[in-house]
Amino acid sequence: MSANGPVAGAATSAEDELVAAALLGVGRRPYDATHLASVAGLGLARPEARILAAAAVLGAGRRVGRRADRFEGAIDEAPPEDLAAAPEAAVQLLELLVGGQVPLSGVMGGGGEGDLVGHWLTACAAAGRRLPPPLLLPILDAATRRTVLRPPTLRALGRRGAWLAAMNPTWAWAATDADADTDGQHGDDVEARWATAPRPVRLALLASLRAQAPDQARTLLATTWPRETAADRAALVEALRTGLSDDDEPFLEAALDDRAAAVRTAAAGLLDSLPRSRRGARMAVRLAPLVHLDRRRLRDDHLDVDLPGGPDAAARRDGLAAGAKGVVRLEQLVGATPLTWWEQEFDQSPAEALRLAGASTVANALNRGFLAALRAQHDPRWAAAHVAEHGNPMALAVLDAPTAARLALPLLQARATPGPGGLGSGVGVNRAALQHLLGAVAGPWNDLFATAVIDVLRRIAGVDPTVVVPLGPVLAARLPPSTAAHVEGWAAAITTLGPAGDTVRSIHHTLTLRRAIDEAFHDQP
Amino acid sequence: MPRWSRDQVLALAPDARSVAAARRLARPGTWSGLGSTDSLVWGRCQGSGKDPYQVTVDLSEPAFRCSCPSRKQPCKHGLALLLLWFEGDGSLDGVADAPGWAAPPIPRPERGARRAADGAAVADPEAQARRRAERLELMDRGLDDLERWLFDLVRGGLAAARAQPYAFWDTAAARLVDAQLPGLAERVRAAATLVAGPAGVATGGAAWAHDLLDELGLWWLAVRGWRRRDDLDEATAANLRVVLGWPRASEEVLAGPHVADRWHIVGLREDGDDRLRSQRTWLWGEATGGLHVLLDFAAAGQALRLAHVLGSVIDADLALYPGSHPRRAMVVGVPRTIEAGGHLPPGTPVEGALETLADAVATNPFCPRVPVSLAGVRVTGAARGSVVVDDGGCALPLRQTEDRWRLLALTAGRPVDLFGEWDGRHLHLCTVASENGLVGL
Repeated sequence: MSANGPVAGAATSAEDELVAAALLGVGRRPYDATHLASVAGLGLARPEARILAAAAVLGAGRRVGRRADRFEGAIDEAPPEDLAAAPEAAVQLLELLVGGQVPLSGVMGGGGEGDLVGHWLTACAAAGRRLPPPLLLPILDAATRRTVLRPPTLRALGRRGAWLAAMNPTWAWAATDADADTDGQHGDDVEARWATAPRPVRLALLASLRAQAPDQARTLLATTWPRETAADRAALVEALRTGLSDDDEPFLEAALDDRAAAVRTAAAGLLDSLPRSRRGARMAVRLAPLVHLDRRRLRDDHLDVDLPGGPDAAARRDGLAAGAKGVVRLEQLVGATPLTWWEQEFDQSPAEALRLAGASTVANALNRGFLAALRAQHDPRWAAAHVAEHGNPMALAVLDAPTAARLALPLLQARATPGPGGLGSGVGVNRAALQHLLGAVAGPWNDLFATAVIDVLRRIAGVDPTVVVPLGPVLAARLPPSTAAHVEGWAAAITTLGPAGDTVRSIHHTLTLRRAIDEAFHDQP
Repeated sequence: MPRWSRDQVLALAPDARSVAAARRLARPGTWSGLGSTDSLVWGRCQGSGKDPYQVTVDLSEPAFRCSCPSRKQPCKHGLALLLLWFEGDGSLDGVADAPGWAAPPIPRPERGARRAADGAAVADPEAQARRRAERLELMDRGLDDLERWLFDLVRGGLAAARAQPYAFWDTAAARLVDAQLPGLAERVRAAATLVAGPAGVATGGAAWAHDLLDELGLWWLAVRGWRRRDDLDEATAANLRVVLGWPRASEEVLAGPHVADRWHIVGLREDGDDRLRSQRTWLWGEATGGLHVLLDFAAAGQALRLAHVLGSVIDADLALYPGSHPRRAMVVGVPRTIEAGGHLPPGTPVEGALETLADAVATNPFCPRVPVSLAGVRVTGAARGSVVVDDGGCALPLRQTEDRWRLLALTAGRPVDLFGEWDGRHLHLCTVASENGLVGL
């Protein structure tokens, strides 16, 4: 029977008759199949049989006579890719990772720093490759759940992936508008969007513009500034932290006179990071009369520091708290004063200044102030001096990774050396301090530091095997793959069952997978 | 396999309470859907819950499987089933192929090996003929019963039937199970969800009525066909037997004609609910051009057998089940070779899919779906209904599932070759041909 068989033509009226009778029931509405010769011709005596026969005939007829739907609309096609797909070996690795064939323990998955999927995506973007089509879905879904995966996903998605994401609201975060750069953010309508969009959109707009053209962003902010609400003003000032520079100083200085305390606090906080600001100079002027260097011929120099009095109106405008205790006022003042002031005023190196401060009667307040200042001003010279002087990792995060690693090394080794705070001191290993120390050195660690970390931890673990367990995530994320053999040796040396061995083995597992991922992107065509 | 003694059965019980409970359950009235092969015994035991427990015992181990929540191994249902079988009044005998839910509790290859080692069971022709006659009588009565029920239904009207509780359909289905018509029983049970569906707008507010009428017509066709079974040709009779759910022994199928070819595995599809899952494997023969399907079943909680890898090519003999296209098949023995490099059968535009179904329905009105190979079609319309469109603008609707995202990711809206199943309403896609070979959906 062809698709245009004889049944199809008669179906409509016969079908209406059939359904009408069937709904009511042939007990109430007689059915004699007048429209359907093939059933009427069967000579069925009972109406029940006739209606069932008609249902069978018409049902088959509808299936046989079905015509194709017409599709008139435009067919949306993905734009051609401009990047090559990831190499086959890399794709296989990612399939293993997203397919759950690799048991990902806490150190490797979960979207943390050591997340292997994140590492894969970053490596893919760095190699100038993109995700292959079959993996677009699992990765879009994974990054929808684990937001840390989104930035590398966006860079590895390719044009087909962005096209796909634009069709599904769940993936809206990945739907990059190809035209956004030309008419979206830098064009004329950015001012219209800035003026009318809801607050979260405006904040995002300001942040993205700040990252690319900080001055333009600040100028845009100034156009609407007088009309913003107090809550919006505070959030908008805070958004200037992206791309912050001395060019922002006049705007922030003016914001110190804002009606709203939250705005003044935010502006003062940002000015702490601009030591060349007028506010910084004013802080130095306030601090100068309080600090006296007593240069003594036969003994060490000595630093005399007086506590500041209650803040006057100008000091309160600069953000110094009224009602705080003297030592707290001193700490605030030191934290807001340019560190270069100390060097110039007393002709001292950062190390000398820190040593003098440490010997003073208000050493703690000064130390806290210095720490706040070197963090806010992001001063690596003072940070390095601070680590050396105090032997703790508080200032490490300010330093670049190689320097941080170099300075952290002796601190780490002290932990594994018998003595106070180290092994055999009778108080056990301070795990929090160890975690803090390793956490302060950004990854990936260089070989020297990484090898030292492994050696130190192995020594400590000889006394306290489980010390490695809480360190698993940071080790898996920051040890370089080149140390995999080292870690394997460590794992092999752990003969007892338990969490310590499990952790070291999964660190090793992570490192070998990360190396495999790197190699897949570097070696393959 | 020789029957065990009663004591052997009871020795398997974990404790005395299980023995007592099993004795109470070992009465035919508690059970439905009983059956056995030479190594497997199964049945449904009505417990306190709404649904009966599905119990299977593999006699060769023995190994027990039961859908009841008891942690005892074996549970009282398994023991009771063995007692029934041991005391055998014959109600457990004579079904050659287990229903899907009664898949054996241990992996098949093992069972097959053991069965082969045991040697073939000695058949008793006289007993077989008696059991067959009994079964036919049971089915006769069951189908007469079904016709009366159908007449009542259409006399009272579909609107009234729609107001009936779930039990209305379930009771009818249970009677069909008792009459050894499990295929029809499954359809009747599924009709309960059909009428519960929303009133469709497209078909004048009564889509469910059209759907239900289609089903009622087919059931009645089965009744009529059964009465005329002696006049039917072999293929039509075989199609009818599938609808009724009268299984066929694999030995019988293997004894039929074999087709040798290089078979490309072109489509895999899983279906089913939480009780029973089925897997269809579509094979295309490159020399014969035949498209046939392997069926596998697994009960809840069991893994489906991974039969074949999509895109592989097996050089093997297929034994075809009786019936019309598309025909069920089984692989005879072990394939001679298995290689990669499979591809889809020659494709057609959308019109070809419609013709394939029309041809199939013309010879088998019960045909649920046909395999279709579409060439140069595009997938589009993620926002509303997704469709597959050929270059002439003819379209088939896809079912609204998340599969379309994968499909769009793989095809990017460009023309591709696809393989799927067309049921007359929706296209269920199985396979996309990509530059790297066949990709399953």
